[in-house]
Formats: sequence, structure tokens, C-alpha cells
Amino acid sequence: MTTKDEELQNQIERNESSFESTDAYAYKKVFDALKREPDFHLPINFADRVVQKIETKKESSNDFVWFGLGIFTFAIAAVVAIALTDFKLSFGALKFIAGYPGLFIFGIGFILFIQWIDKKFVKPKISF
Amino acid sequence: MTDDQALVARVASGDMQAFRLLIKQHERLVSHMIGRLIDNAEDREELCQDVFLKVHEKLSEFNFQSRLSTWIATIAYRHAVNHLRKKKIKVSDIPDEESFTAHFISEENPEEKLADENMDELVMKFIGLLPVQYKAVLTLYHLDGMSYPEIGVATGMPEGTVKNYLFRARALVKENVKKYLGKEEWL
Repeated sequence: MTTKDEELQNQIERNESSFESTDAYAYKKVFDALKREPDFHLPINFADRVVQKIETKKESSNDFVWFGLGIFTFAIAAVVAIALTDFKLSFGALKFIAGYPGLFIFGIGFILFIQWIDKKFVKPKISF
Repeated sequence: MTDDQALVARVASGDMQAFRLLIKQHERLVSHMIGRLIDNAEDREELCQDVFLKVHEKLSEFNFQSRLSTWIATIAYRHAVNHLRKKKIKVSDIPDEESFTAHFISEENPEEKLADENMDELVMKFIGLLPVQYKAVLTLYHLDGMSYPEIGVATGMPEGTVKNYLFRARALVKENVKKYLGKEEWL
């Protein structure tokens, strides 16, 4: 790969080479191949498929906005309802567990362990 | 206002027919880049779709510092490189000249190869073996007719590097082709 190569490449680009040497002829083969389109072609309806994907994405983001609005309205309604009815929150049922902190920690740890087992060993083996 | 500016303004205002037109105008450019850089046929169309989804998402940020086609080529190139990285295909390093040249110009038996393939297919195979950066530069220059500065913008390489890669890539393929030329005449 020398300045001779560089000169040959320039000559072929300018259509000035006579292709008498093996180098020039080999370069011609390379330049011809480089102009060839790849075998891969997109389908005729490619643009429609992309536009459809964008529209589907827009619809799902609209759904998300409506979901957020629903949650917000529900929260407002709950606050108003609590204020109007003078509702008192009671944690009586949960007071029992305060005497057994070890049980509470074990419960959380056990659930996390089961989740880890599921992720590590069970889900990878499920094929759809 | 240029054609590109008018088209971008229409797409930005939500005209999907204009976006269809933009895709039609640039799908060859994107398919050239993805087709040459990505070997897996199943991934190619999805990657092309992702490129145009990104174009649509980022079009409002396009500031006409370059041609629209150059900007789209940049997105296509980055998508292809990111995809290869995700698939753990090495793309970051261009090996040093001597060791790579020795490795690239193979020692295989020319007669055996030419029995199965014609010269054009063989040349395409050699091009396919080049590093990603070389293939990108070759594609943008030879198939899409981009200039050195435009290729520099699209790939993020300095103009001197673009020229050097273009020259080296063609010379490497030529060296391999030369080995087979004499044999082609015998067969």
C-alpha cells in the first residue's frame, strides 16, 4: 500500500486507468464491487410500517396520560371524602405485628428470596 | 427555504404524509448503511425502523448545520455501531496497520475458493470482512456519493481519517483480490 496505490486509486476514480497492470485490474474489480447495492432491500410498505409504529406509540402515551389523570382525580376524591366524613385511619390489625419484628423481617426476606429463585432459575427456562 | 427545510417543517407540524416522503427519500441511504454493517438479516429491517423512529423523535432538534441526509446517516451509523456493541461484536479498535494487513490478506487456497464463488461475490466477501469503520466510510462514499467532510460529520471522524480509511480499505481488498486474479484466468 504505497503512493503508487494512491495514484492508481485516483486514476480509477477519474476513469484514466488503462487496467494494464494486475494492480489496476484488481482495483477495477474492487471499485465495481463497491458500487454494488447490498442484497438487503426494505419492503415496499416500509414507510407505512414506520408511520404506524409512531401512531401506536402516540396512542399508548395518550393512554398513559389518561391513566395519570385518573389516579390524580381518585386521590383528590379520596382527600375530599376523608375531609367530609371525618374518617379516622386505624392500624389496629397491624399493631399485632409490632411485637414480632423478626417475623416481619423474615417475611420480607423470604419473598425476596423466592423472587430471586424465580428470576434466576425458573423464568430463563420458560420458552414462548 | 430549501426542500429539506420545508419537509422538516411539515413533519414537525405533525404531517405524517410528509414523514412518509422523508422516509422514501432516505430509506436507501439507511438500508445501505445497515445492510453493509449488520450481517444478521433478521435484525436489519427492525434497525432501519428504529433509525426512522429516532429521526422522527429528534427532528425538532435538527438545526440544519449539515444536510438532512448527513444527519440521518449519522443516526444510522450510530444505531448500527450500538447494535454491534450490544451483540458484543468488537467495533472500537482499528488494528494497527501491519498486523491487520497480514491477517486480512489470507493464506487460503485461491483455487478452492474460486471453484465455489465468482470474483464479484469474493470481492463482496472481502469487503464484508473489513472493520466496521472502513465499511461505513466505503458505503457512504461509493454508494451514497458523500464527500469527505460529509462522511466526517456522519461518522464523527476527522476528514484526514476518512481519507486514510477509504484508501486503506480499498488497498486491503485489492491485495486479496490480486491473489485470486491469476487463478480466475486458469479456471
